[in-house]
Amino acid sequence: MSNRLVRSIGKQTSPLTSETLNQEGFDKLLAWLDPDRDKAGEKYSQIQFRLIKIFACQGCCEPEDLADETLDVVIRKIDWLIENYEGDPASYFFGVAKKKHLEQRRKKPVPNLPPPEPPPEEIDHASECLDNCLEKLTAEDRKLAVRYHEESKGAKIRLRKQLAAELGVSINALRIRVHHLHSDLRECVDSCMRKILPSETIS
Amino acid sequence: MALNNRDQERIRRYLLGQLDDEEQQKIEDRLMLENDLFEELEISKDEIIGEYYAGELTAKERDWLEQHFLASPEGKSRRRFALALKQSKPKHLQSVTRVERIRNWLPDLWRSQPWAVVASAAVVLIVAGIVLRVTIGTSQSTSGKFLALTLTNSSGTRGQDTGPTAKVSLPANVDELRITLVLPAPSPLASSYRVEAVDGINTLSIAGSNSNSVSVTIPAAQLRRGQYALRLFAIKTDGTEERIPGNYFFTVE
Repeated sequence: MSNRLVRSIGKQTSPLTSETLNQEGFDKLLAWLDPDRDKAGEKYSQIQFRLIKIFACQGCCEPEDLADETLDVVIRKIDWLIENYEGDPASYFFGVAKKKHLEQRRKKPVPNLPPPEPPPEEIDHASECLDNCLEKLTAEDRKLAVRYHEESKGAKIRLRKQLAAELGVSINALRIRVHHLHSDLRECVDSCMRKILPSETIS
Repeated sequence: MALNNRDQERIRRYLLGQLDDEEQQKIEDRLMLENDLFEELEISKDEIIGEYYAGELTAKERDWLEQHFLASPEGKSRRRFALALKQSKPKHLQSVTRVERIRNWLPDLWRSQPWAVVASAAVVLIVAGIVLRVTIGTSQSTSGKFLALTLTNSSGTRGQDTGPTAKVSLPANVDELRITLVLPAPSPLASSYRVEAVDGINTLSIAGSNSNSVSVTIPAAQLRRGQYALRLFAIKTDGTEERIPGNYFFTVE
């Protein structure tokens, strides 16, 4: 298990106790990302967040660990990078993460079996949580969150055009609005689930 | 940077494993740097999971999604959310559609059957007109159900307690008796009047007055057969009362 410097995006970016990574290396990394330490922290958080999200698309089962291991590698090379690297540091991070991911794949190939569906009781709990989360929304947002995925194929397109027209926005603005709504709801449901069920029982 | 449809399509193909290595490398590099493209990735994840559960993906696309994104912790969280939304949806949809149905009923009807809306509006107006007419007619006839009577004062007679008595017969449909009490003489100091019955009438009120008379109303329900006497008092501007001499007699038959 690699050292986890930053547990999640949005929190204060600061190194935790580490045996292999030192404060000096992390400080140099932040300085490399941006001379302003706060901005550097934001940039690092963004890089880590995107690595996690992109490697989730590639079926990485532990994208947070992958992001941390990537950081280990980058910090070890930080002096060389400061002297020689040209370009956006995010690209370098991604290159390292990609190599790490390929190594992981070679060691532990992706199983061909689809992951099991969450058990019904987990969905029941999630549904209860979702009901509570939906109650916190305005009537208009609730309607949008619930109805957006209501239909399929042609009817779905018509419905979305209708919803966009009702709100007086473009289809793309509607997509973004629903995405933000669903992101907030998902976060709310996940937080509620952590309170209801111990983390190991959540699939 | 504004996204074009090709980028949207590329992101979709990226999530479904349909890009070659070079295209994939390019899109991943851009995802690290471009905010709009990264947001498109996040939006597309939701939409593709929606399509996954709607059965709109091909078998190959489903397999790829299951073995890649859906196998990740984030994919599991999104899948659980999609299933929870599917389970909760009917309940919330029902409440939404009930409100919507009521709200959209008239516009929908106007779009589909404008003649029906016009005809309904005409019927409503006609019915409302009839109801209004009947109501006004009733109130007019109700307010007309009274019997008027004019009484002179007994003060000019010899026996003031047995002065001129008017006789009145109250039909069953009469609601009140309106009596005009003629003043024996103008009372210049009176600012208003008070009237009281000697006995047998609990509610009587002054409807108006002028320099020559005072109008009094008595509910018909309070009047039984028999003789009644009313006394009138002038209320002066300083608040003191002065009785108008004499009584006003009438007999209900």
